Amino acid sequence: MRVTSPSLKRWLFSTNHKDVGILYTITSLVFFFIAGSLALLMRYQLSAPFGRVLGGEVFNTFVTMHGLLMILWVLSPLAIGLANYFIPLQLGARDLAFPRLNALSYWFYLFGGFAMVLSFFFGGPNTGWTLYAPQSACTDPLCSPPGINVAAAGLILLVGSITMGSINFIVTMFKMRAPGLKLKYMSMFPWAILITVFMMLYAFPSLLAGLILLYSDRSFPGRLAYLSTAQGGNVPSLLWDNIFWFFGHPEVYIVLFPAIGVVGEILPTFTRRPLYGAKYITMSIVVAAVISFIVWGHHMFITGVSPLTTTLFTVTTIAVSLPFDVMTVSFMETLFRAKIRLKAPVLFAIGSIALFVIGGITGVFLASIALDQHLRGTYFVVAHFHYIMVGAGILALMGGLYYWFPKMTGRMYNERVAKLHFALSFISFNVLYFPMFLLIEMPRRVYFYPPDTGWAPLNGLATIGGLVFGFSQLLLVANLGRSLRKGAPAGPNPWDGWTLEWAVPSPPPLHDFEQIPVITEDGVVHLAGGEGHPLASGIGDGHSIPHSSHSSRWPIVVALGAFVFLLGLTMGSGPPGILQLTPGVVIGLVGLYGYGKESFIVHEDEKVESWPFKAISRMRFGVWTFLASEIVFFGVLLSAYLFVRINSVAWPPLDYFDIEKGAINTFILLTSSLTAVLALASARAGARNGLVASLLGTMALGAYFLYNKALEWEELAIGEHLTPMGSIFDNFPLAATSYYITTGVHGVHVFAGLAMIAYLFPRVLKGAYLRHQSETILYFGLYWHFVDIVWIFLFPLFYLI
Amino acid sequence: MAVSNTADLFNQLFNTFTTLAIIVGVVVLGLMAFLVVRFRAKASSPEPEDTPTLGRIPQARGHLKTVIISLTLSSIVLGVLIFGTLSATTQITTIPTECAEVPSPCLTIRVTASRFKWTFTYPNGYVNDTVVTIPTGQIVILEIESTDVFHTFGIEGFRIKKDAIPGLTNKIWFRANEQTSDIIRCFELCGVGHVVMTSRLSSVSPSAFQGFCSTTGC
Repeated sequence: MRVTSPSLKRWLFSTNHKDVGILYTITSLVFFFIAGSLALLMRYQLSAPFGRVLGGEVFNTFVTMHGLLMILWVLSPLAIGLANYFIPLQLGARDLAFPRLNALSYWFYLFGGFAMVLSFFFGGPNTGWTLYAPQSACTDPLCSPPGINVAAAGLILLVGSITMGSINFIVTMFKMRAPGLKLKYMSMFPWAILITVFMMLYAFPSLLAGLILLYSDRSFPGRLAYLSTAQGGNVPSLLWDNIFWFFGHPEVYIVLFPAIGVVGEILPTFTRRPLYGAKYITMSIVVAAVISFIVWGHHMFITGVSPLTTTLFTVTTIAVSLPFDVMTVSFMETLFRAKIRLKAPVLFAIGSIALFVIGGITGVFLASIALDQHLRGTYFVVAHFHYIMVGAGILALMGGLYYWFPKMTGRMYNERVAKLHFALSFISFNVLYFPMFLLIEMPRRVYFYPPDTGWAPLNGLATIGGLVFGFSQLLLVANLGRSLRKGAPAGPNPWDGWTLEWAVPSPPPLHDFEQIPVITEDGVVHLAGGEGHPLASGIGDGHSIPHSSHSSRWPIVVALGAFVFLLGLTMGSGPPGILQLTPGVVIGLVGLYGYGKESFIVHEDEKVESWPFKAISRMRFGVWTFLASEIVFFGVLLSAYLFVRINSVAWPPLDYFDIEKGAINTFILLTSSLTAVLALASARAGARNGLVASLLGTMALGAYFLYNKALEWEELAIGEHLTPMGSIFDNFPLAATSYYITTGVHGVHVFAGLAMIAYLFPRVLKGAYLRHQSETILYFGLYWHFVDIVWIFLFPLFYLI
Repeated sequence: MAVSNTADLFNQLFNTFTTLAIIVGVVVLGLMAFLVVRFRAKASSPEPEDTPTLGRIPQARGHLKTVIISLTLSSIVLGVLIFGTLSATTQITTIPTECAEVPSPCLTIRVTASRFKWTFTYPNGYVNDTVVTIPTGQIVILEIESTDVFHTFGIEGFRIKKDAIPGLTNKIWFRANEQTSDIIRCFELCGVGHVVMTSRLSSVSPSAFQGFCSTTGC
């Protein structure tokens, strides 16, 4: 099945978690060097007053792309790459739950990165990574160039990638742990990843919702006006802030937690002692994750929100620092009475904790409103979050890279060069960022400064640090690249680690485990396979390697379709024509059709540890998880509606939206839920005709709903149903925007449901999906009911209140 | 005494925070360095008894007591820092009540941000978009607005900053202690001219301000 030679085909089509993990890791390093080069150019620019090489437009674009690429295309994906490779191994599984979905996530990520880089050539986003509206939403020449649309396409692909990836990891970790591997037996990396992917699942839909508002505002200037002041009046100014930071602050921890997980993995191995307070570290991560969703307001301390709000957010912000305190203390206690073997991985881990301490302490400054009132928007902030993201984040992940390199390649890296890499990185990091703490007057994101400011010496120092830091990263590449061929053979367990990845050969075979390990009640791991294996005890689960597929050509096609489609959607200015969209749609449909038709075998083990989700299948759990993220997505859209509704002076009178039409549509959609229930009942009972009829009924009702909706859209736009009212866009721009976007997105969901029926239908006619195959109809039903439930919220919000 | 009451407050707070930060930082980082050096692997150091080994879930270790102690300690430090300084925060963020009296003893100036300049409008309609002149010793309220995108209004030496957001009027207040000339900058990326979006603040003696007003009609 697998092409074992490192051919192009293997890398394009592989769905094996180890291959995808390597793809993620290498791609994220490539983006690291791209985004790092932007940073170096900016540092070079600022090394002298009045700048050196860059103009204002280019500098602003660099600032923005550096931030977006580093946070979203480097930090998280590097962690996800390691997670891809090692989570299945550490859990005693043979792959992720949905291997093709995993490949699809990767290709969405890569193509998203292409779009982001490509956006530069359309005049890239120039607003800073926060994409603050109205700067990002207005289309006049002083605002944002068209490239921001292309960047939005890249971000949308990334959200798709992350949502699919999160679902995959959540299902894998809950449904595929080796027999006896209870949650509490997991080491720190799986724990950190589990919590991270949950956060991703709930934070990224908010970004997606925001991007949809942004894109629609930019595509229909003068009509849609959630974020642009020109049309909406001045009401929605803080809408983007809220949506963005509801995503943005959890995102900070999303990039940090995997790093903490890696530190928690490296420390016990190299200190030769179990992680101190592992249970409390895990609990702290959970607590911090939860609180991170209620601290977003501290990014808005000086926006003019009420004093009560700022006080509340100050309290939550302080509260969130306490769990990090527990983590740091536990890590330090692990060192006590240990036997620390000072190899490169542990140096990076300890260095990461040290820089995290500095980043954390300076974060407290910013939690104090009185200090934030001056420090906000200055280089003090830049220093603070680089200590967290680069210092704590990147350094720890690099430690992870050294730690696991022998497992991934079967060869050792050069220890001396790795230590040099650490020393240079650690010192130059501080030379680069510490001076910025002292630049408490210098604004962020300026491309020059006058000489009389006196900022030149500190900036010069930072630039020197930056150059050394940047170029010393080449040591990493050189070391790992050379060791790939020349390194000493590593053997299965070069570090004497205790987690399961060290129980298999380096690199692990295609199926990871000869036999799935079994953990008995006394905490002993049994591995049956492999003659003379140290853990062979004869208590394995006795399963031989099952037949599974490891490659598919369709994920890359589907992702390409999405990429081309989104480029077509965003490359021009204004709404796209049919011609622009066709290529993407065609490629995407071909890909999806091939994806659906392909016979791809995923072995599903019965005997696994899957508390607390024993009763439901892998796939159903995946569908539920997806719907959970959809709830957040619609939740944010509805919050946006409520936000403008509450803050608007002018809103249409109650009978402006045709209540009768709305009620009829509600009735139609609810009836279609009923027919969906009937479809499932027929499928279970094995009644093909019943299934055909009820699916047809569902489809007809859904189509009729959309038809009614279209009529209503037209009437409101023209304004004919209640003369002499005129277009809703002229009378009530904000009401129009919220109405069209919310019902529009819901309509797209209805349409997607219809497309699913259309896909299922030919097979249904041939007699598929009956009795024990009826799960598929159930998945469709779950989705369809969800879409109907959303409407139950939309109807009263728009028509009755 | 610094140039303004806000600068006084900031400096005081910043010093307190910095002192504590340095103490905590030095203690924590010093302890870490000590632990690493003291417990690094030497030929003589014995293998710890609970070394995690492949094939066995490691023993759990750690005490709730440690967690509680460290949480209490840091809560105290953070509590002192944040809540101990809450009064200062309130002082900065609340407009003094005396400004509500009629006639108000305070000078209110509207600051309008637009790409890429600051426009100052005095109560009597006098407009200036290069420098804002204020008297020392009197409370000054700035009402900050924006006509286009987000900006952030910041007076460097006065240590005070506020967002200028379309549709909102955000207020800050301060009292200049001495005659000075200070620089005003924009602290939110607002476009290509962000970096040149500067202006000046000039604080003059009350009598000089009288003179300024009689010539400009402010």
